[in-house]
Order: sequence, then C-alpha cells, then structure tokens
Amino acid sequence: MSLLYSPFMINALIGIILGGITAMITGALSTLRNVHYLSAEVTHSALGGAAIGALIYSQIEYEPIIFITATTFSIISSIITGYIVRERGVEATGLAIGVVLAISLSTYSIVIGTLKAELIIKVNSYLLSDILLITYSDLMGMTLISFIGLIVLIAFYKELIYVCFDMEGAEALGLKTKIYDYMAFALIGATGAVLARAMGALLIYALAILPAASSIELSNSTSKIFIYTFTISLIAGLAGILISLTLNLPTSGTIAATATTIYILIKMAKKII
Amino acid sequence: MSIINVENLTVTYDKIVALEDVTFKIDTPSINIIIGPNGAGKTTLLKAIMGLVKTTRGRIEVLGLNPMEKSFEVRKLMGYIPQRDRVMEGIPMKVTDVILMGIATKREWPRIISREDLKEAENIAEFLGIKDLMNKTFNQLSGGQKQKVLLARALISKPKILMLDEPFNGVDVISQYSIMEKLKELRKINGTTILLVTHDINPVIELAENVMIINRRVIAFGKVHEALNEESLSKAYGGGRIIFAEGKCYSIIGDTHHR
Repeated sequence: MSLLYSPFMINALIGIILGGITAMITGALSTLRNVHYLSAEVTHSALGGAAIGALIYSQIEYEPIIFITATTFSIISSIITGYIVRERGVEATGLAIGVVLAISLSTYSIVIGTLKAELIIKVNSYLLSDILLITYSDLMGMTLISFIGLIVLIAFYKELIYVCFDMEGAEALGLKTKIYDYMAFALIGATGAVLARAMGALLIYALAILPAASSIELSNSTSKIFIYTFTISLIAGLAGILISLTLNLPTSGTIAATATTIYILIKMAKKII
Repeated sequence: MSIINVENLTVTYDKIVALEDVTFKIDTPSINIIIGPNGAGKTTLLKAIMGLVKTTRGRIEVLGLNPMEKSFEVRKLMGYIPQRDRVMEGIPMKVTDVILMGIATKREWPRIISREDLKEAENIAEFLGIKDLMNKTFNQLSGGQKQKVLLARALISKPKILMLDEPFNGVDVISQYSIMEKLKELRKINGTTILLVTHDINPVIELAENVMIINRRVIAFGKVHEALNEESLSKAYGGGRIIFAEGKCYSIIGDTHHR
C-alpha cells in the first residue's frame, strides 16, 4: 500500500493521466486525418531531438532542454510529414515518414556516439521508457504540452474535424484549411513527444494507435472518439500499473499489452454482437 | 446578366497544362453542365473559379470579384459539393453537423451556431427530404443520402452560385432524379446559378440549359442542341454519337470515370 504513495508512483499516475490526454489528441487526430501511423512514427523522431538536447545539456546543464528539443523535433517532423502529405496526397504518408525518420535517426546515430553513458540512458528513455521513472522535470514539460494541446483542441475542435472530414469541401466553403491542417500535424507531433517520454516511442503503437482504433469501432460521433480514446488509454494505464506491480513486470510494456488486449476484446465483441 | 466571366484562362500544374486559353461567360440564373474526358480540366476549372488554384494566365471575374485576389470573399458567396471520394466517409460526423459546416466555415472563429442556424438546417433538410436523417451519422447513409447531405451543406448559406463536382457518382437513379428536381427548383425559385461537372451527361440532359464540352480548351459552349454534336464530342473524346429519341438528346461517348 505504501508503494502507492511513493513519489515515483504519484509521478507515474500523473503521467498516466497526461498520457491519456496526449494519446487522445495524437491518436484520435492521426486516425481522423487518415495518417494512422504518424503518431507512432513521428515520436521516433523525438529521439534525434533528445540526442541534440543531451548534447546541449552537456554544455549548459539545463535538464528540460532534452524534453524541449525532443518535442521540437517531433513537431517539426510532423509538420514536414504534413507538408509532403498535402503536396502529394495521403498515399505519400509512408514516404513522408521515411524522410523524417531518416533525418532524425541519422541525427541520433551521429550524436549518441559523442555522449556520456548517463546522457545516452536519458536519450534512450525516449525509445523504451518506464513510466515509473518519470521525473518531476519531465512532468512539468508533459503537463504544459498536454494543457496547451487540450486548449488548442477544444478551441479549434470544429476546424480540426472539418479538415479531417472534408479538406477540399471545407476549403471551398471558405475555411483557411492550411492553417488548421498544419495545426493538426503540430498537435500530433507535440502530444506524441509527451507520450514518447511517458511510454517510450516503441510502445506508442499500443497507446496511441490502438485506443483510437478501438474508439472508432465504438463511436457514433467525433467527440466520442476523443472521449473513448482517453478512457481506454487511462484504463490501460491504470490496469497496466496494477498488473505490473502484482506480477512484477515492466510497467510500460504491461500498459501496452493491456491496451492491445482491450483492442482485441473490442474487435471480438463487435464481431459477436 | 453574366455572373462569371472567364477570359483566356490558362492553368498549369508543374508545367503540365490543365486548362488552356479558356474563355466563356455564365449568365444568371442558369444551369450549366460541364463535360469532358478524364483529365480534361473540369475540376480545375471549378477550383479556378473559386480561386483555389493559381492561374498562369487570363482573367476570372465572379460576381464582380477577382477570385485570385478575393478568394475568401468569392467562396463565401458560393456553395460547392466536392467529389464524394474526397470526403472521409468513415468519420462518424452527425448529419446536422455536416450541414451546419456550410455556415460555420463561412463565419469567423469561434464559429458559434445559433438556434436560427439549427432551424435553417432543418428547413434545408426538409426541402431535400432528409430531415429524418439529421441525427444519424454520415457514414450510416446511402450514396444518394450522402449526396443530399452535401447538397444541404452547400445550400445552407444560400449561395448565389452552386458548383457540383460529379454529384451523381455512386448515387442511385431515384436519388439522381430527386436531386435534379431540387436543382431545378433552386434555379427557378432562388435564381441560383448552377455549374455541374459530370463525365456522363445523359442523366442530367433534361436539367441542362447550357452545355460546355472541354478538353483542356473549351470545345463547345451553348444551348444543348448547339453544343452537343458529334463534331464537338469527337474533338473532346476522340469520337461519339448523338442519338435523338422521344424528343430527348443522348450522347454515346464511351467515357468511363473511375472512383
């Protein structure tokens, strides 16, 4: 019981809530925009940013810089993907993701060799993280991005849905779609970076894509897709922590496995019903 | 009185000519059918009229405005139905919300919807016979119902010009006739000018006042019997026959349009 009140557990629980918010934004938006894998792939590019951040950190010793550069890299990568998708169509998503990953991962490979061991661990936590190891400094950055993401989503909800639903029609009707489309891509990148810090980029497939895919199966309105994605992510997070503590398993991996199980159960239930 | 004036319009995409030296005038009110083979520049022409594509040469005037300079203002005065395959039909958007999109997109942020707007959405839905669908989601509807919802979205802002891009793709014959009847009413009662792009003119031949045949250039433009002849079809499609039966004119052009 005392474990539940330990600082790292409280940080992890806050991380789960923030993870739910960011999974909702990045997962649901990328699903609605028909670039399903973007949320997961673009967060891999946070690695390159984290590596550059670690390089700067070794000079100025300002801890948040790693989170800042990782998030910036993720946003820029998402926007570059958005540009290529807009220019060449949604079928060019694979090519776009390939371009941004190549840039980011080559940056990571070059920089990582120059870093000290402790900084390499910090950078690699963006690839395979453990939610129980989230620091106070990480939480501050995650809270800020989640809060801004949520405000932007609520403020421009109609516009974001319109560009996802019918870009050409919305533009012809008078909406300045370019702004809102890039806003959607920036949101996917920013909130994806937060999720990468909480879960590690490798597990984002489970926590961003699957809850959103499950929600589409269950929803009869666009707002419900967001609400269900948040709820499924939160349930997967809380259940994952509980199972991992009970069975002494790695927490983030267990959360990802729980989210996958929920998705499979929903698919099976839909088939039966 | 002409509502759209196009003079010597040329549009190129990456050095590929989509439209070349296109000149015509559209009078108001009128129903104008634009036909041509795939890649003829039909959709590009509609987009150029809305100011959504860069023109290489020429001049366009819509309701006295230049859409290249005042695209936003021009689009506010228009209703547009895109090809349905451009719409993400899998998104569970409520029919009411799709219709209200036609008003909200023309407003400034935060694009608040009033009770009067909701009432207007109901009126338009009733006019088009889709009022009972308003609480359903777009992805639950048939092709014809979806097209009527998109038409309601285009009409809710009471546009002076209505442009429809391949509106009958994937739409059953009964719905096609029902939509055509509504378009006739709009032209007659509201004085709406309609531009309808299609690859198959036969279903809409009764609707047409003017026909424009294009294949990058304007091959023919005028009343149905003037524009629609074997020579113009041959120039546009490389062949074609015109058949007159029971006072109606049919064209056989063997063109297909892939969705």
